[in-house]
Amino acid sequence: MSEFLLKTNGLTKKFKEQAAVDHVNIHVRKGDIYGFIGKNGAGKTTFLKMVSGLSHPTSGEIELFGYTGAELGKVYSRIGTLIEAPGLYPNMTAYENMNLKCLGIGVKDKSCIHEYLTLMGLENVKKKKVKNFSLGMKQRLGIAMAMVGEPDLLLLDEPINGLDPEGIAKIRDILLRLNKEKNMTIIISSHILEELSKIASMYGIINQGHLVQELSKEELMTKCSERIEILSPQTDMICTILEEDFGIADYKVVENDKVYIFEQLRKCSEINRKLANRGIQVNAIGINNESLESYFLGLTGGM
Amino acid sequence: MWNVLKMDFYRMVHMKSFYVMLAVVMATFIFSAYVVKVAEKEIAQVTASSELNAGEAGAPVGSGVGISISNNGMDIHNADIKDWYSMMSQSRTLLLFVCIFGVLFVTSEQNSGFIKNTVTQVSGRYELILSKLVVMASFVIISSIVTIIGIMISQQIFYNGIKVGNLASLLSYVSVSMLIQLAASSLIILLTTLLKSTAFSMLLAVCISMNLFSIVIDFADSMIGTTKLADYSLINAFSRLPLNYEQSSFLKIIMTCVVYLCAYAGLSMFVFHKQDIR
Repeated sequence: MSEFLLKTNGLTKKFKEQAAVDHVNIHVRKGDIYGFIGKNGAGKTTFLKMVSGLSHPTSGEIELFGYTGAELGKVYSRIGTLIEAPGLYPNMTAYENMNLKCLGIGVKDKSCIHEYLTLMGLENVKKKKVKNFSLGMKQRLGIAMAMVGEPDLLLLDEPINGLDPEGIAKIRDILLRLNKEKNMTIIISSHILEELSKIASMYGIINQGHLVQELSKEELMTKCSERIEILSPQTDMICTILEEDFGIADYKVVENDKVYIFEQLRKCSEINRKLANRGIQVNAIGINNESLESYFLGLTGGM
Repeated sequence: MWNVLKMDFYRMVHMKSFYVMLAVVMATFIFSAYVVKVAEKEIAQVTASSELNAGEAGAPVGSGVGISISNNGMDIHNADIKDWYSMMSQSRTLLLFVCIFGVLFVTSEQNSGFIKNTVTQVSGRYELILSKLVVMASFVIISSIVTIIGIMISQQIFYNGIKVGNLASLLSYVSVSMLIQLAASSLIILLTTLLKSTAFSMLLAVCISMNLFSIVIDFADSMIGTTKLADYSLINAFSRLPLNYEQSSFLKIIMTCVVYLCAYAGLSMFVFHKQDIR
C-alpha cells in the first residue's frame, strides 16, 4: 500500500502544442490539507480535472488510493469535487440539486442533505431555485454537493471565490473540522495565499504548468518567518557557539553557508559581537523575514 | 447504472419542458383533428360547387397544423386510432417533439455543469449514455400514449365516438413507430454529445425530423443509380411503415432501426468516453 493517497508522476496535459500541465509530480498523504497555489492560468484547474477524472491526461500517471491506469475508475467515486463553477441546475431548488446527487451516487439516507445545507448556512433557502442564488450561495451549495457521500478525498478548486470574509472563515472552520474529525484529505487550489496558510498542511506551488516546489507548512514557515540570518562558511562553529553561549536550540543550517536563528532575535548584535570575538568569519548578519506573498512571487516570477 | 437511471428519471419529471412537450403534443393533435374537420366541410362545399368528386382515390383528406397529411382513399369518419396515429407519425410531428425534448434533456446536463458531479461517480461513462436512452424511450412511450389519448378525445368530440379498430394491428404499428423514434433519439444524443451546443443541436434536430436531409439522400440515390439509399433511411421509415401488418416490411424497418440505434448509441458512448468534460 502506497504511503500516499494521491501521487502523480510526470502528469502532463497538452492542448494542441501548449502544455497546460507539464510533468507535475505531487504527493498527498492521507489526512493532508494540500494547498495548491498558483496564479491564474498556472494549470491548477487543469491538474485537478485530470485527478478527478474529468479530463484525460496527455501523458504521465496518476496513483489514487493505490490504483493506477484503467483501475482508477473504481475509486473516482471516493472523490468529492468542486471544479470551476459549481454544477447546479438553475431551475431546481437547492434541495432538489442535492437530492439528484444523492440519487446519482446511491446515497439512501437523505438526512445528509439537511445536514450539509445547514452546515453551509443554506437551510433557509433549500426550497429556493438556484437561479435566484447569489454567487456565494452557489459556491457554498457546490461545496455541500461535493461533500455528499462523505468522500475520502475532497478536491476544491478555488472554493472561497465569491465568499465574504464571514463565509470564508466559516468554510475554513468546516474544512478543518472535516479534516480533523473525519480524517478527510483535502486538496484546495487558490491564489489567495493568506487564506491557504491558515489551513493547509502541505503546499504545492505551480507556475506555467510546472510544479515549482512542494513543501510542508513547517518548511514554508521556515522559509518565510522572521529570523536572524548569518552568512558564513563556518556554520559548524557558529552552531556550537549558539548552543553553548546563548542556549539557542531553534536554528537551522541552510545550504551549508547560512544559519537561520528563530529565537532571541533581539540578541542579533550580541551574537554578532561574540562571533567576531571568536574569530568566526561572518560575511553577513541581519534580521530578515519574507512574507508568503513575496516568497511566492519570488518563485513564480511575479504576477 | 440503477442509480444513474433514478437520477435521470427524477430530473425528467422535474423538468418543465417534459410537461410542456406532452401538453403541446396533445394540443397539437386535438387542434389538427379540429382543422381536418373544418377543412373537410370546406372541401365538401368546394367540390359541390365545382362538381369535383371528393370521393376519388388520391384526393387529399385535409391538412393539419401547417403539415399536409394525405391518406389515399381513407374515409376520415371511419378512421380508427391507428389511422390517426399513422397520420401523426408520417407527418413526423411526434418525432419533432421527441427530438426537441431530447436536445433539451441532454444539453441541460452539459450546460448547467451538473455533469461534473456525476460523470466520475459512475463505473463507466457509457452508463450516462444508456441512461439517457432509457429516459428517451420512456418519453417516446409516454408521448405516444398521450397522442392516443388525444386521438380518442378528438374522435369523441369531432367524429362521433372512439373507434379503436384492430388492437393487435394498432399495437404493432405504434410499437414500430416508437422504435423509429427511439432510433432517432439515439442520433440526437450522439449529435448533442458531439456538438455540445444547444442551438446547433436543436437546428439539426428540427432538420432531421422534418427530413430536410432527404435531398442529400435522393441526390446520392440518383448518383449511385442502382441502390435505393432512401429505403434504408431512418426518417423515411415512417413513410414506409404500412398501415396494414406486413411482416416483411415491419421486419425490414425494425432491423434498420435496431442497426441505427446500436450504431448511434455505440458511437455516443465512444465519443463521450474520450471527451474531456468542460
